[in-house]
Amino acid sequence: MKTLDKNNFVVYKYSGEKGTQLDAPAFKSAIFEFIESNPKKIIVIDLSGVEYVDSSFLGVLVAAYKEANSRDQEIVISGLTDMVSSVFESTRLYTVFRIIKSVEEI
Amino acid sequence: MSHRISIVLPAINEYLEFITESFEHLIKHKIKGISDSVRVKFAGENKLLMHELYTNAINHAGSKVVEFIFDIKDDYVDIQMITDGPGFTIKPVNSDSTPGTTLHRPPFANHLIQNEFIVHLDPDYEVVCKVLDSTKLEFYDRERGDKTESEMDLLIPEHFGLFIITNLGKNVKFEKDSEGRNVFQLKRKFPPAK
Repeated sequence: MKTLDKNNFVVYKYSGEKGTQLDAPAFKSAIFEFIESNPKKIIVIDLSGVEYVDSSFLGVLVAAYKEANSRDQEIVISGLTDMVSSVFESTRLYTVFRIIKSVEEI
Repeated sequence: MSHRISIVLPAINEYLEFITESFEHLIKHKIKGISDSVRVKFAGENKLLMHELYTNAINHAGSKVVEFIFDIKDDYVDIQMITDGPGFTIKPVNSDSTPGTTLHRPPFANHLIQNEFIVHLDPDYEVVCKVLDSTKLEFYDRERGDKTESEMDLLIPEHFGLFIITNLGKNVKFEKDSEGRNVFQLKRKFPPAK
């Protein structure tokens, strides 16, 4: 995981190629800790290196969304690959998250 | 023309990639002539669908062995997933979308037959589980009706995998068959050629 800290947002770069039930527990711990330790208004989760996600991983994203909301922060998803983008579309999560191509769009 | 292919696997994570990739190979000849964007979307959905089916068997059904039967037709594929173990447990969500505590396992009691239970709830959709008889269930997702402002904030991953399965598949059914096996079945349509 790498972070890019700007004035009003901070980026969490997910480093795995897959986001599945095997990765979800560690990701959940990491992203919750990241949210807690970064009081920035916007938390960008960069998934540009991810080729595939499942419902467990998406569940963590949803949980992170709720956690950030409770802290008056916003989770923004960036860098979706075509395959992951199609999963967001199928699960209608694109209606929940603000999705951007890169942090320049913030 | 119909082709039937059966694959039997141990219910362990190590074969997850194998089954998702195998399914893609099995139907590859059926999705020629579609645009690249549709192909990518369809492939992503297929991978997700198979992933959710198989991980459900591993994580929730308590299965040791999983058999997939694919009946490949002209316009769609019938998918059956047959497992051992106790089978599907109905766990309705509460009206505030938190996970409920009531559990119904097969064989389903008489008073449950023809009843419907909501097993997944999100801001826009709900997944309904209808008890057809003591051993059979039917699942479908439907758009929610009137919603209050606060309900728009509801987001709960409970049975999220099942939501994905009902969203990507059609005629989704579960049956505890006469041999005590759990048969989960659904239909997956092929995208039309351009």
